[in-house]
Amino acid sequence: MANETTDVLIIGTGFGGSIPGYYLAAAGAKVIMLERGPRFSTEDFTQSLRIGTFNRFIDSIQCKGIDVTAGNCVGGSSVTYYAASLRAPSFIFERRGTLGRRIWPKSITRQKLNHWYSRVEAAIPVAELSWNDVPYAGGVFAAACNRAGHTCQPVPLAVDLTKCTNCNWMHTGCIFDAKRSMLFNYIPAAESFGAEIRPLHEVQKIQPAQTAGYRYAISYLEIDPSDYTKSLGSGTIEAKIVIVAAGTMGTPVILQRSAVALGGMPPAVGRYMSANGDRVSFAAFNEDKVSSLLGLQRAPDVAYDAFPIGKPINTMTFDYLDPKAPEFSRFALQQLYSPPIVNALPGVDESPFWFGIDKRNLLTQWRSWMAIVEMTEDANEGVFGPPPKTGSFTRLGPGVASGQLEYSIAPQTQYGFNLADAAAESILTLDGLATFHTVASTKNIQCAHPLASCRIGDNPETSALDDCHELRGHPGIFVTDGASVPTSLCVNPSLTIAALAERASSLLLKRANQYGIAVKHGGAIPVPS
Amino acid sequence: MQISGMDSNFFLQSRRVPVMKKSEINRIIEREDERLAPSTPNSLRMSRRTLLTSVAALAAATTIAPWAIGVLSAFAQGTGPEATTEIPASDSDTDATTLTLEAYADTLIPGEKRFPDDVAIAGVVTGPGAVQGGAIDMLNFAPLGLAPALPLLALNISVAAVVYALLNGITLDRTLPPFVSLNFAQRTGLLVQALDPSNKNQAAFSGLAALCFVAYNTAGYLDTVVAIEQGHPGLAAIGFPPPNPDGKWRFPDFSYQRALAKPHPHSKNGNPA
Repeated sequence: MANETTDVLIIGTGFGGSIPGYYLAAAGAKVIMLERGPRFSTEDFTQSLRIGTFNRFIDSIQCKGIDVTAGNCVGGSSVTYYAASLRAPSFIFERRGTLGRRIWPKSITRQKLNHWYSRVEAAIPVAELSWNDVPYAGGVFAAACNRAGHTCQPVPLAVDLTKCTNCNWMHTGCIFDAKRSMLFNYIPAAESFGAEIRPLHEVQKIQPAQTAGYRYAISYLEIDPSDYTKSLGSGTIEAKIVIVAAGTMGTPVILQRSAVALGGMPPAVGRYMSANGDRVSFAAFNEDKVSSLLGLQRAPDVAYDAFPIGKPINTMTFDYLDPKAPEFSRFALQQLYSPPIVNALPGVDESPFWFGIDKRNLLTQWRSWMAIVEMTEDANEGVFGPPPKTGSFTRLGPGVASGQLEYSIAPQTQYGFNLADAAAESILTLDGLATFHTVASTKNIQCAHPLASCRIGDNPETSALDDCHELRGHPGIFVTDGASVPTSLCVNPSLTIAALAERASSLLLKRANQYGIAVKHGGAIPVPS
Repeated sequence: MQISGMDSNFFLQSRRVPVMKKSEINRIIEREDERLAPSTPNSLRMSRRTLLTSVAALAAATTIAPWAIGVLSAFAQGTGPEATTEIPASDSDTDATTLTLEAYADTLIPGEKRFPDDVAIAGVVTGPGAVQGGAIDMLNFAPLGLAPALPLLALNISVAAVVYALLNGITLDRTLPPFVSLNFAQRTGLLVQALDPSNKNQAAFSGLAALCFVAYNTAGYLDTVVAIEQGHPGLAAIGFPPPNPDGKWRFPDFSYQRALAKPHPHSKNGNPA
């Protein structure tokens, strides 16, 4: 029986898959998108922390030195993210890293990427928050920054503010259709032009095609929706172009597994992974001080006491993003909500440091907590080991997996962490406003923004992709997801991933004709549903 | 969380614990047995024979691949392993497992004793702890598939407790499972070592610890709205807010509604320059 064929096969349906999926389908290409996770819609999401609900589409991937959170569903991490949608600072694109030479392709600067940022902001769409939209936690962080002599401002969000109920359940999907994931823009737009999305299809390997006119054969397993460790079948699709957008934790694994069949892989596949310099800390506020020092009162005799109220990300300070400061010393501080499933993380001063009586006392202050994410410049020190037999990692239980990634913190990264910790602590503990708590229950980095495991660049030794996102030595294979972003960004990366995917889509349309796909150019920005 | 690298000698290889030869341990055990000669008829007593049996069982469980793989499989796949991998458990075994796991949970997030003779909970605070927060319900929650492995995990704790006692000159109460017979400070001291990344067997201990925290802080074995209705002690203790009458969370009052800081002078539309 002949293999199924298509013009374009896209692996993954997050930001990196949905955006080229739309543009190629709109331009007339036959597009099939394979997604390893299930397809959920609003009615499938819950406001529940019961194991077996949210972890049907969120994975915690435990690796050596790092724990990574990633989406596992149609829409990818856009379904689970906190919707902070920021442009990366200009200096990021000039970074030189530990190797001392430019990391980003010369063809990409912030100024040049602004065009693509604008398109994404319009398509999602991204909302600018007014102070009236900023929940209590964001207000407390802003007031604390202000009192410490720092600027602070609302964060642009991919949220429909007219629908948002400030319920703080963004991590389990959104039951109010307020969070603007890919399910509301690029994916329906792609499907309206005939793109076919197949959930629970986990791609394993890419091989040379057998059918004339097609370059690659993509093999997949059909995943059992009730047990993701089991497969219900398998298949192969041949394509003229393959877009690998399985996420930073998935893309390099598929490519590594394909290395023998494809005659080798660029050396940077599965190397130079960045955790976006993520560093999570916590503060526990003294309610009296919130009132007396910050002058805040949300109800009679209640100053803050509102950690679980609102949207998860609301305000941040850019004061430490000085473009003239040395590399690895720059970072952003952002206020964050963390659901109580991670309450083991923050430490206390005395042994045993993260459990016991003092920790129990800290837990009783949970409503006065705030989480802070410090986004620093890391040294791209993540390296993927050999791929598992199937999939991107080994599943251990509902939403828990063991991955092949190893992240050994470089001195430069630790230097940035130390500076960011000190800055956050100085702001939040000024005059006894709050106590500051770093993560103590694990030595592993807590990363929600994995990047760069198959990155673009101009140097073939340190970048697996050229500046058009094409895999070196393998014409017709493109990578357009977070794996392609070369460095940490000092801001949440979703908008940059999407902007790069927009830019890559434009380049892909030009290449498509060369690879035997008849497409017309110039897809309009999709209209949000 | 993962169960891997289960090494029966994990406690001997920890950097914080001096390495002892088996013969030395046996000699200490014999001396301890002589010193604790008056025996008790209680089925939970820890004699030298029981200790050696336990150590042997742990060694077997962690070095004989099929058994270990069976447990790992149970934990990994979210489904129970084949019946052949289960340990036939007597009531006293079950009691010992539960008591040990409760004591473990209580060390992480302490609570008050449930009744005067509560031996699992050390009773160092007032109010609920991880045990009242449903730690045992969480560990037995079917989607985790962990229940068949709990006797082994409890045994793992027991063996660590016996060795901790031996190395620290602690006399165990032979009427109780070893970890339960330690006082709160001793339980804490053991967990500091067991949960340290330098412990090769840390993963098994930290997996249990994570689930105890999940039980108390999220009632992860219940839908949250149900847990709130039932007055889940952990959610109540951290102050998790109740939903609206329709069972959904919404917060119409959420903002101070005033500017509380100045934006960065070079920012534009909320973005850095």
